[in-house]
Amino acid sequence: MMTIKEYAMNGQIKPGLRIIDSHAHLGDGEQGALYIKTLPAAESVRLSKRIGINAMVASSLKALYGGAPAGNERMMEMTRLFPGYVYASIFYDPHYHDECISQIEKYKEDPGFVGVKIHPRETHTCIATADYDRLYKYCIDNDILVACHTWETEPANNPADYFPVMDRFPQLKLQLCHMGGTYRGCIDSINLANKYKNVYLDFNGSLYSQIWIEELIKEAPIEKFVFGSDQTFNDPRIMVGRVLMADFDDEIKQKLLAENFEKIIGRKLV
Amino acid sequence: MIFKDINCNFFVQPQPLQYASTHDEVAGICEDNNIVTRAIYNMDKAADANAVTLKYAKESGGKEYPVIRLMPPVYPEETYTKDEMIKLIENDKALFRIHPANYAAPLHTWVYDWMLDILTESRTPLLVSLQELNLNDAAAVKEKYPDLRMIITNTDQWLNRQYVGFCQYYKNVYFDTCNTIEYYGIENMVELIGADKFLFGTYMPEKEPYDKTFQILFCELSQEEKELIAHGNFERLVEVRA
Repeated sequence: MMTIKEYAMNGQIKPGLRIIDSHAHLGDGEQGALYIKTLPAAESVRLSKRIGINAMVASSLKALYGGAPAGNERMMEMTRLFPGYVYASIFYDPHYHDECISQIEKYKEDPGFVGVKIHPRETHTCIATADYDRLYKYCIDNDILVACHTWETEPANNPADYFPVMDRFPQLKLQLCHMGGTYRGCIDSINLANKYKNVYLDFNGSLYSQIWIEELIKEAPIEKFVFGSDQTFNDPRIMVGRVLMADFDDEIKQKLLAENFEKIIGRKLV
Repeated sequence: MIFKDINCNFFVQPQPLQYASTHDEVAGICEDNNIVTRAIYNMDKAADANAVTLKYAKESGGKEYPVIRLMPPVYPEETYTKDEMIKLIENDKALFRIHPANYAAPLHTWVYDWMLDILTESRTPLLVSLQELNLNDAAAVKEKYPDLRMIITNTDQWLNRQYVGFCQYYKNVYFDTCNTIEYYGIENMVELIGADKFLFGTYMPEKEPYDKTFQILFCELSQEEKELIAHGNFERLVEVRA
């Protein structure tokens, strides 16, 4: 039987392979501070399907750039435009606490809702402060996963700042997006995941850390790692290729690509 | 599809948390991923680093081309004479990499002097990382040496319009793919500079090769464009030097 890698090297995706992109961004062509090619959501969905992604959990680009309430509503509309494929991570901006919590409350039973996304750098609210405590309490009470952008060199969201936060909220389900980006950030993220049972490692940022994926997955229990592409900033083919072509067993690849995330959120998406 | 890697590096000693980092480990990963030929560069700073590179390239049976760390004539104890440089090109089919920042050897015509003449006349590619390159310096060199083949590696995660403009403005300027991770980055770059100026590069062992091969295999370009990037440009610039 051909392996996932052998299929990929022939330009094909292995039939039956399940890929859930737990970290995506969707919008309607918003132009961010970075020079990126912005495309309609339908185009992002088309490319994702072509490379084997079966579902994507996305937050709104509009929300990321200051329009949280409107962006979240649009994101929920997208879950209805692409049912069973696009799922929403409702963006929480501490400046819009009441509005964002109302939206999470409104949609938390919606099949298109999966979790909450925070981005301390873009919302100018450092994770070392207590400004997210209200959100964490709410998410613990409602068993909701919080996905946080982390980058070691950005003062607002250095993953090391999560140690005191997790001491205060050990029950918080936390997805460390990018694993802090740098080598130091990755090591801090790994230490967090190994210390706190509900901290999970979204390994797309480890691309920049000089740590190869074969070595990375030995540093914490395999169940702690979740797959995310960071599209539509990064090309989703980068992270899909990184897993599909790597030198480890297909069974582990399938855990990384879908099973771990479904276990964390407690439901099947694909 | 086969791949030929313009930016394939190694260390003499294994590096922590790098699945492959020594020459033999990197070569093994290349074989497993259809990277059949590569331009190899020793990332160690030891005085014999270039000699080690040449030894491995000689033993490779034509699969590896040595990339020599080139210090300019203003560092006479650490560089080559004209005859030595010509022999490296003719006998070993060497390429050269400069380090304007990391080794304090900025890319000025008066610094590299006759070396730029030899590189230009022999059509030998000069590799330099964008992370170390001052584009004003590079532009001054290209004004004087328009036929110098300059391969700018390790470009940028995002489409930096300044260096893209440099590649569009000057002929014989090329990029590698190792840092092209932006959304539709491969397709965007081909649209901007053309597939004939874009070379497959992994930057192993600081980066894995997996995303780079997959990206080419699954990109939305014509088969001809894919083949140019994956290996055709390497063949033209490094192997044939047409």
